[in-house]
Amino acid sequence: MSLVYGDDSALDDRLEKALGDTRLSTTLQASRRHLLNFRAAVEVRHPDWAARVDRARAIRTSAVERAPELLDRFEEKVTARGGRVIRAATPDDAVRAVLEIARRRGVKVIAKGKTMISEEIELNHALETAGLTPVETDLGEWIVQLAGERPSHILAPVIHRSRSQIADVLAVHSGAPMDDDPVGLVTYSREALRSVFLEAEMGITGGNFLVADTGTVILLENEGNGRLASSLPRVHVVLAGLERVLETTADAAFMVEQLTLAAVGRELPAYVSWLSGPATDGDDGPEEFVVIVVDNGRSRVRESDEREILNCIRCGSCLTVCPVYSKVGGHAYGSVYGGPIGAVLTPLLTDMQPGLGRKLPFLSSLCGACTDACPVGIPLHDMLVRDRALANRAGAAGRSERAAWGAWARAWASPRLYRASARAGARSGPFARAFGPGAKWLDGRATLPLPSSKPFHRRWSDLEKGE
Amino acid sequence: MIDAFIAALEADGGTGVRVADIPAARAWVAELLGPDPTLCFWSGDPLVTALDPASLGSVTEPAEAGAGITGADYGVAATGTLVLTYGTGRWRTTGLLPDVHVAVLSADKIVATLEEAVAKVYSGEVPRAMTLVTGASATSDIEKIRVVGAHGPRQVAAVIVG
Repeated sequence: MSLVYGDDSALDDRLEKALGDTRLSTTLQASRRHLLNFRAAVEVRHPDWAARVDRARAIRTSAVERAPELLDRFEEKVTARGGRVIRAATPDDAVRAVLEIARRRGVKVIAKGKTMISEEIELNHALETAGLTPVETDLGEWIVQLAGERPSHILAPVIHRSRSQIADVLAVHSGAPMDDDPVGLVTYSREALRSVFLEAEMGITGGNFLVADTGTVILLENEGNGRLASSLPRVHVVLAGLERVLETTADAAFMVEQLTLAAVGRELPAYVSWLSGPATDGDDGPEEFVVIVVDNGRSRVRESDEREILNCIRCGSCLTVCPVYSKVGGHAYGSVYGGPIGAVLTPLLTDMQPGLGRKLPFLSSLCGACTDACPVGIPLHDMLVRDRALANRAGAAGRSERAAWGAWARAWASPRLYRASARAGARSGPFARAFGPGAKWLDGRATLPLPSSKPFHRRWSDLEKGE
Repeated sequence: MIDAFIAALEADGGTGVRVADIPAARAWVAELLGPDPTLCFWSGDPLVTALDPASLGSVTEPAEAGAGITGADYGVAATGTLVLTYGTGRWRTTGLLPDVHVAVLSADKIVATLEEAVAKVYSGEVPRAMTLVTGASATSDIEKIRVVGAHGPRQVAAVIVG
């Protein structure tokens, strides 16, 4: 399973390593402050922000609810204009579809725009194995590809590297030393990648939204690589999860702004492409237009009680504001999707299978910052709690652990047993502090306070009696 | 609304100007391009061809040109956004490959909001491709520092006629 690239069993090691990287946490904290600042400015410009979130939530809930019907309509419209829609149930199906098109057209070089689905299905690896040359053209993604790494944030893939660490990667590419000035690094990349665009026979991009009424793929970006990848090569392939669907272009216009406001604090990114089929005669766009709609567990989630997670529009806000993500970064999660969205979504997509991300919902303090930041109002922290229960029921907690917590829950549901446990707790406090799990948890950093010999409920009833 | 469009475009690092007629538009574009520019343009847009762009510099392919002159279906006042749809003589690469993108549109094409522009474009036949252009190409991938001129034009200018 390529959605999860780091096994749960190595999670503690990854966290330990990430916590040792102070530069990483400094960068992520700055990014967190930046987002909180621009979000405050957005709420000043849009005093109706709460109403916007409600509208976005309603649009997405309705679209996810009716996804099968809307995708049929989307396919019908794209097909009528000479494009093609392929439904891929599994990552293998999606990879096979891309390879089939590449072979048929004799493709060698592929210009790729940013797409998380490509990471999810490990497309680059498959393309390289088949002897093709996929080149990531989003600046951050290109650096990550050259470094042999994985993106560590949905929107800012190379946020884990400093400018000098980026210069080191580009110096290897250019074969000459490279200054760490961002303008120079961007200029070098622009020139290096321009020749890739002119040479590529295939462009592959993601799709932020799929509009059912018109058969339109919507692509947001600031760099222009998505425009180039969808215009210059003779075939353009779009990879999108089936939950990307929206019903109308009016919904889409609103959601494009909502996504941009949440992600970067501006109303619109530099470019939004609305693509509805192959080029007509006399237009210089691609002659073949294929949209691969990927399931990979989404239909199962859509039919479950956790379907609201599919409302996500991948703005990346919940990652950036999360106190856990902003300490450990994206790689620690070991999933293509990190942060709160990844912690909820990953184990749902893998159906709570062992080793495949079901420990991730526990990487949260449940502070709710993610829920507050979400532009489509997903109750992420509630979903984290439900995911924990699902994970434990599926076996994430061992039998004895579940038995112990079960007994605790039953005991504390009874006033008599609750009082008895409070008395026992007060008497065993000193032992628990010295030897119990409390000692290990605190790791000598603080002293666990002793339980009071007079529990709160007794003190309260004494107070009520006027003592 | 036209002032709002220009203000929003300039806030995003673009340049906007309103001129009275075609000769004034032509003079403004000539000044922007400087002496002996290489350029490409939309031959399928009457407002663009009215500028007689071939007389402003040497015409070449978009991949070689320093500037690309396009029309625009609409301008969105709220965000300074140019709405471009493509077709015969209205190529995607004209406003994309050159370093400078100049868009010419008439004053009656400025609308208030994105939702309005989208509704107008999609009320007719669905265009094969539409691009919303808001400012210059940029990236913030390196330490969140914004650098202009990632893959697309480094400079965007809108000339509003009328």
